[in-house]
Amino acid sequence: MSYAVADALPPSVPVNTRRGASDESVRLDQAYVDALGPILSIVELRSRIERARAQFIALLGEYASPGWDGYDAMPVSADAVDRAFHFAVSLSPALSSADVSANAYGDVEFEWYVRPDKILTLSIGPGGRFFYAGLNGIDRYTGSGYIAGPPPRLLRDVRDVLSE
Amino acid sequence: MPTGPVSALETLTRFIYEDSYFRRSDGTVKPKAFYPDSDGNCSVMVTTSLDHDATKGVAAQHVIPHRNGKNLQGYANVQCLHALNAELRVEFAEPPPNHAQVCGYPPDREQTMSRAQLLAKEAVFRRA
Repeated sequence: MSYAVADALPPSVPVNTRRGASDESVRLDQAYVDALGPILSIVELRSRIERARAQFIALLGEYASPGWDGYDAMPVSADAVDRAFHFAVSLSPALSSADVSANAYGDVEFEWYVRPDKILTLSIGPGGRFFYAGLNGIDRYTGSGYIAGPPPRLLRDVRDVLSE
Repeated sequence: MPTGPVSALETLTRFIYEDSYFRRSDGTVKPKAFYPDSDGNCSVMVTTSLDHDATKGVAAQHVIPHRNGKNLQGYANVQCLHALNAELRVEFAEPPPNHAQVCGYPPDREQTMSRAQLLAKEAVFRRA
């Protein structure tokens, strides 16, 4: 089983409509929207983070056994899951469409996929060590490092792959 | 018992037991299905000219009994030529019959992932 990191759309506030209301009523509606909008956004963001946290915790159960892939995959490590979760919630909504699962190295794997020749795969392991590879037509990207906030070059490469 | 390199025109089959190794959305295989096993090689079977049922028969006879009860989810076929184009080698490693190993993955993990992407790009996935 694999998951999307989070909802692809950013939080939003319902659009108000006039429906024949007076100007004063419309101004009052707008005042409520202005006041409640940031609060709703925070609530939705927290909800998104909690959903993501549950999905990442589930990875620990699903990929806990040695050889979970029918070959000799390593169990996913709790530290890798924790590092990957914090990376995931730091992503902007535009990049949150990644599929998340584990790989045979025992890392958490993010996949941004458009089609087989437009793809970027990121592997995050214990200690925040990461490796990534991307394919964008005939262009290939690779990189590695340590997660300490979203690395700019990685994010640029993800955007390149996702762009048409 | 064949030994040595597998011909570029042969079909290689990677059997898949884990449902996160393929995409239900478009029926394609993910690159991680072609990551090397802990010995540094990717175990495949040479299944040139075998149809779907015969390929599943290979799995049932030679592969599934060694997978600790995991069910076969499907398999990915890729021509050996594409492994060679990705700067990998494919060597027979029998028994069982027609077993081979994709080898020569680079030591850098990100380069290995890149090679696996090239294989997955050319592979055709079939549900079991």
